Amino acid sequence: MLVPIVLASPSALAAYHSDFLQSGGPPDNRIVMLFWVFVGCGSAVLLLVAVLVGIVCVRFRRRRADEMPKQVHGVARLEVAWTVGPMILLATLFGLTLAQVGYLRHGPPPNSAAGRSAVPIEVIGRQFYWTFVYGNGHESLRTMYIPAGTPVTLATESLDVIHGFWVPQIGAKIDALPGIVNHAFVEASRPGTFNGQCYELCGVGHALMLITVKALPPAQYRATIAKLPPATGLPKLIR
Amino acid sequence: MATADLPIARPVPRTYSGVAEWLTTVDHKRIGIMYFVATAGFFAVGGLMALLIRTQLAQPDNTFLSASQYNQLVTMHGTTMIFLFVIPIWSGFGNYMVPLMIGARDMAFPRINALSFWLLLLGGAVMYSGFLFGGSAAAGWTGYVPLTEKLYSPQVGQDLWILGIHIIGISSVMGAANFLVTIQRMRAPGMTWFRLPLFVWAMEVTSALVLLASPFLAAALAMVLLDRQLGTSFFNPAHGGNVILYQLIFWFYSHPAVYIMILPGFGVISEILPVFSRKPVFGYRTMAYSIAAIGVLGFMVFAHHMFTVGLPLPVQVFFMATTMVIAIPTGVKVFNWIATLWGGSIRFTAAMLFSIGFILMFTIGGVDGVFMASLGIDYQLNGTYWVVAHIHYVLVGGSLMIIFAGLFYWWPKITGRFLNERLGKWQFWLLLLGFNLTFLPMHILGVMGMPRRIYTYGPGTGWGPINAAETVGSFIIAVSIMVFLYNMALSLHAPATAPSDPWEGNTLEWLTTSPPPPHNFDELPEVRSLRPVRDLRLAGRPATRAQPAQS
Repeated sequence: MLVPIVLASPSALAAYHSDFLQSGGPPDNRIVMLFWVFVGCGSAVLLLVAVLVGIVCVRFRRRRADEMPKQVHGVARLEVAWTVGPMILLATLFGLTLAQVGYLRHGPPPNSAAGRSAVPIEVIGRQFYWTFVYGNGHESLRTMYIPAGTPVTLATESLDVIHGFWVPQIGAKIDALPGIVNHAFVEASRPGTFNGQCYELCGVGHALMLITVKALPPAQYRATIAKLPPATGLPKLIR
Repeated sequence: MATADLPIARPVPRTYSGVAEWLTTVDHKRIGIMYFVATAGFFAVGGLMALLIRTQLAQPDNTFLSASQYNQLVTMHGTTMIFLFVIPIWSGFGNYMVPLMIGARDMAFPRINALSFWLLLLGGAVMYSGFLFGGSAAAGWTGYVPLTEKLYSPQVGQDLWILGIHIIGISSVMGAANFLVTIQRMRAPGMTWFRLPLFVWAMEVTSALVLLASPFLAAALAMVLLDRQLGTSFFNPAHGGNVILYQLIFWFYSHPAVYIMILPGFGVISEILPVFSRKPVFGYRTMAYSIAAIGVLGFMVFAHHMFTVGLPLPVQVFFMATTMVIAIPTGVKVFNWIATLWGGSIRFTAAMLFSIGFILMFTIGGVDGVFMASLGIDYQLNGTYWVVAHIHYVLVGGSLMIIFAGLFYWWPKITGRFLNERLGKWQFWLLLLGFNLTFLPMHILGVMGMPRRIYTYGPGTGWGPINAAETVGSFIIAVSIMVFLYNMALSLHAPATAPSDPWEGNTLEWLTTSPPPPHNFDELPEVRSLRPVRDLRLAGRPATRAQPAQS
């Protein structure tokens, strides 16, 4: 039931790049793969239930006022079947997810080649905008620059209420909490622009707390962050 | 041994008439009716708020509402529908039906019962009074800190919201204790635990959940109130407080609350399907056990609301596992309901249509919930319109559908009159259409990256056309509700023609008159099975008619 509707999503036409099915990098690729597996299994379950209900409604409608059906109180074998069946299905979905969560949350292992090349960026939320602080101590507001093809490790914090950092096409979302530093990981495989916004209600400006991510070729990335103004008066999360 | 027939001495309570009678009543049936009327009023208010919200979102860059008004409406819509409609309307059904279904004279504590009801009204009034004093609460029904701290939400409406929920909480805890004692102690002779109607089973488990979980919500909100009024620092990071602590305690209540809102519905559908298919419920014991299993597991899944707050990964994996496990007893129930219908002799009354609609819509709400149980997928869908779609498939496609099924089913018992079946079918199809037009596309919006609780969005997002269609859907829902209002008005003006057992019922409430006399039953048969009234009917004994109350 969901499949045709999700496929018909017109988001591919939109200028705003926030549909996670249009993946922009390796972490989101893994989520998209999981999503379609779930859509397949979920649709099969829905279809099964819908067909059974359809059959019941057509075949077993009352035809004579005095008819009395056989009084079946239960069939143990059937009940075991529809306990064990979903168990196997859910265990499979659990296993598929489990295989991905470490990577999605923490990124490539720190001692791997990809892990060593990872670029750290601090993400600081406040009512109602985002500040991004780079390894060189420079900052940008509302727009985050990242090097394309390189894992980016994020450290998030908030200066006031809870905010949520989310740029769907390049990876998982993560809360920016006051008083607690969170870590996350994003990666864009190609240069381009990606959109996102705060997902945790943070006050009257919540809807306007947008995020633009510009993924640049690595050399251009270094040149761009060198020209940004230095960050002042912000907590140092990982620098 | 000689016996003498002595007249039964019944104490004659002091009676009032008119409004005073309703204000002073401790009769479970009258209190049940007052719950229905009050929660219907709150439903209307919450529904109008939803229409305002949908109007604002109908097109990009809309200025129908300000951000502040929008946040207040979103908060009060959610709070109203959860705390003032779905949870208490089950108290209405429970109040009216539990004593009748177990063959009792009344609830165990009639005065406490009345107090529970009046506190619900008081709590609602306190919560809404924020609108009179500079604005209501505006931090969402979840009321996350530190947004609800005084620094960020200075309005007194936030304090009144907390106090209102505290009062409502006292009301539902007292109601739950009352149900537990009533069901434990006041069952008819022969009504063992495994001859108990499934609706009563559901009310038993639901009441246990209310009793065990509500204090946690009260504690979390009390801490916020102390932070706001006395400057304690439970949740102030600058003074060593922790903002995640609130969420842990809040969801320890609020996830079980989801089952508080749906388990009684599981019970209602398990009463209706057997009656209109002339078959016993399939796998009665499994159904009872699965209600209990859902009640227990319901306490072990709460952190799945918090997959993006940065809890340690092993903790997240634990809650992913428990969340997937709780899908199993729920799935078993769906298949058992279908098996109840299978091979039956199905009569498609309005109550039956709503019940079958419930099975399909609730299954969608179960399946899209499993997506969010998966840590990877939830890292995208958490906090988006997918969540809004899911909660409405569970609470509208689930709870609301089955509330209407229950109303059509028990309306003759409560009023002595029938609702018009034809209008009921119109209402069902309109609701099904409007509901799916409103909430099915929200799955797409979630995938497209639309966060929940935003009051506006840009035209470039591409979210406009889908939102416009959803707004149309929400007004179709409103039309279907108006059909129901018209139907009720029509019915209440018609003569009382409902017999004691209009549907070939199974359970004891169909043994007494419609509506029942104040004392419910003149005499009760010994209960020998799950379907005592059917047993009597097949044995050729007409349902015992209780004598009208003496005036």
